[in-house]
Amino acid sequence: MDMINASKISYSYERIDEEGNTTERVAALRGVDMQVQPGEFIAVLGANGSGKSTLARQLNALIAPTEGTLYIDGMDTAKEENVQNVRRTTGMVFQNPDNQIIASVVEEDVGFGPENLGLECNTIWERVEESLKAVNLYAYRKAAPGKLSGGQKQRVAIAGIVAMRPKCIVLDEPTAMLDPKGRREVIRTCRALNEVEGVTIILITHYMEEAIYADRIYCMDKGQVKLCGTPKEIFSRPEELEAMQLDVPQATKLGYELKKAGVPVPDGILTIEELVEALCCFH
Amino acid sequence: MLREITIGQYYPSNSILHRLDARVKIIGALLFIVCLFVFHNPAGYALSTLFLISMITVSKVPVFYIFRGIKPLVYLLLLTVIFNLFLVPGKYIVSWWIFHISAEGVRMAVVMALRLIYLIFGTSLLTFTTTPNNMTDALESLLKPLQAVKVPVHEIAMMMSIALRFIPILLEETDKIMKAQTARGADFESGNLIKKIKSLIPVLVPLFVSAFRRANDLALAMEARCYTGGKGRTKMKPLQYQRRDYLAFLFFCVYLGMMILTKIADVKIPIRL
Ligand SMILES: Nc1ncnc2c1ncn2[C@@H]1O[C@H](COP(=O)(O)OP(=O)(O)OP(=O)(O)O)[C@@H](O)[C@H]1O
Ligand SMILES: [Mg+2]
Repeated sequence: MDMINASKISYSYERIDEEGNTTERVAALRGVDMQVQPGEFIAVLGANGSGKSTLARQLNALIAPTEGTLYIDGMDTAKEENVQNVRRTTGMVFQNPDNQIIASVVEEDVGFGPENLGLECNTIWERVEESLKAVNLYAYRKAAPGKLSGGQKQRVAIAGIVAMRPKCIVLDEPTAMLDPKGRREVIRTCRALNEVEGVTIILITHYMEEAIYADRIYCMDKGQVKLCGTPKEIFSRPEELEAMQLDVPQATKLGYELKKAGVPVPDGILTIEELVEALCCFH
Repeated sequence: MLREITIGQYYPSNSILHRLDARVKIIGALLFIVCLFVFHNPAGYALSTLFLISMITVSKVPVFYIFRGIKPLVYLLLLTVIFNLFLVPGKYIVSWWIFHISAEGVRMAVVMALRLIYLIFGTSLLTFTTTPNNMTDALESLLKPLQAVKVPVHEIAMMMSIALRFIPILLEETDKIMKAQTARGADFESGNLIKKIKSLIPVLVPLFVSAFRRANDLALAMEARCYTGGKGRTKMKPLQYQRRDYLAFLFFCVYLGMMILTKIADVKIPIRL
């Protein structure tokens, strides 16, 4: 069964005035198709306002599609009775780490989700310990979240989701407010969860360098999926990306420019190491 | 400057008072306060003093920390003393111009000041030995019977704990906004009271906007983590009475019993001031 199966989903935000009349409609998603298999690592790219966050909220059943259908692990998110189960299946990590940490102690925050699931006390503690170890923050279990660094806070938020044992985790620009070190920590945590635990990861990001680890990339523009494919396929089309106001990783850009200048390097180079290897082969 | 404000000041230690169930401590503090106002005879005050001194000793909280609790209320205290001193009628012992001090007034002033100070000591001892989280948990548990009359007890407790989590964040943000406005030429220091209050508007508006945005984000994050209110929710750290908590209850009963005894004894041996 597909982890995520979205067919032609659309969504528009409505602005409502005091009398309850709709004054304005903003179409945030227009016919998005998305199929994700269990265990995949997906990156979603797109300029500001392209509808990435709207898509993420759909996956967590925080909003339901106005048109089209969305199945999460076989459950229709439009059905009210499925909503809680969908939220158990896909966890969601948001951009601002401060605004998603509820408790004043790290371990209590991680336990918040399992408490909501109505688990037994012992099970909650097991899960809290397990997930704090998974994000490498077990030593900070008694700390106050306010005293942690941005990257650590974001990992607390991830642990809070992991403790609910979702099959899929959606991360909406989790690294946008972090410094390079914090970004590396968070991305490393995501990859480890994907590889070790087999959790499906949907990573929404503005950083091309974070997308190269994905199995597949979706590129969004004005509420539609314009491109979809492996990182190599996507990043060997820099002109199309540029039309969507997206960049390519620096190594890819350099390779592309070298190729244009007549140096025979292959398409779709993603990392500096690959580029070095290609250039050495050429010599 | 705003960082200095601490809410629910907690003094970390590992005393027996710190380890007691917060519910026991709340009940104890209430009992102490009620006794303070119900049993007003010298023996009762002596007993209260003894109780307080022994509790402070057991708590291992430094005495000057406890005395510091009076500081914000020192004007209220002075006012109470002055009013009682000059306005209580009786046999005047000092008279000068329009001011008269009666023996009754002196007695009342001393008693009222003592009561207020003991009240502050008792409550601050409670907050010094109880973490804010334990306090909200305990209040939720103690107020649970009110759910029968449709008081949203869980929601109130959740609001309190979220407030405790966000107060430092919002204070920091206020600090930041004030600095940003100062850099743009805003002046928060000079002028009269009205001018000062007016100068706070450019701080409050962005603060409220940001607070609402945070509230919205937090609500989404809580919903995404399957929060649907108190129903069907379990506790990670359930409150459970230990042996020491029952012993504390026993101790409180003895205290109450002795208090009642002082009252009975007092009727037989009237003590003149
Ligand atoms: N609550 C809302 N009310 C009205 N319109 C909204 C709301 N949230 C988003 N929109 C609009 O929907 C469109 C898509 O927004 P969305 O937040 O999904 O974009 P995004 O790709 O996540 O952008 P960003 O990179 O800035 O996070 C935008 O045009 C935005 O203005
Ligand atoms: Mg967004």
